[in-house]
Amino acid sequence: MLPVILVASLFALGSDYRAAYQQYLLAKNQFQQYKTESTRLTAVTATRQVLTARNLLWKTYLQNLRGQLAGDTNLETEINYLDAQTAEFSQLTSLSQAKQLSKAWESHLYKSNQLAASARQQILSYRLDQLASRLQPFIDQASPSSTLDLAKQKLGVLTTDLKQRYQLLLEAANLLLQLP
Amino acid sequence: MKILIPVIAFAALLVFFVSRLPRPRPVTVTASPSPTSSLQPPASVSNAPTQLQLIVDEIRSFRLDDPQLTAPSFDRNLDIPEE
Repeated sequence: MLPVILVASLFALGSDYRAAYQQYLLAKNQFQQYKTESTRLTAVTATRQVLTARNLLWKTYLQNLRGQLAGDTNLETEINYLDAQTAEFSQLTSLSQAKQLSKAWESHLYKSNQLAASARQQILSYRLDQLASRLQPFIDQASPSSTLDLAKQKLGVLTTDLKQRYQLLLEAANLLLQLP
Repeated sequence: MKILIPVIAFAALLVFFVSRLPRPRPVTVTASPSPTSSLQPPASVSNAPTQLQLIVDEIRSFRLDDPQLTAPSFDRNLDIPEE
């Protein structure tokens, strides 16, 4: 249930981010055009909002991944970092300060992305393991045959390549279907 | 001969009235099997997917590019203006 709520929440946060981004672009253009105190303040507010919305969107995505992985400390640390960023963004009062914080956030994103990719890999790997384990009772009950041996062989291949693992699982499952 | 005339007249009248009577409409009988009838064909079990088939179908529909795991898209360089 929790992942469903988080996915729905992620969708809503994506919309919030896009709205904040449009406001930011508008305020930025107005400031660059007129350079008044009023347009500067509007730009600072819009920048603060877009930085917060982007941070929240990414943090919720990582929380969604963490929800599907038991006890991933790297993701936990990353989520805590993003939490701290929310506080930083809420206090910014100038564009130069916002620029500095945004640059730091964007630089950090590379590492964060790698963590997310690794989490995705683990989740998909776990799902493939689950599917393979559900085939096991049919293997245990089947009479010995060369088709059964081939299916076992395909399931026994050790590889970290998810595409290859999926392909082997599918082939093994199709072979089991051919058994009497 | 005198007796035949009323008999023939009566017979003619009888034929006339009988022919005027409304004809019974054809009745269409549709037979539907009773839910409890033992004459119903037995439910076919050959089309029901087996447990293995269900798992294989699940494996076939498995997606490595699950949209629920896809990272959200956003601008990675906001290019904030100088003051």
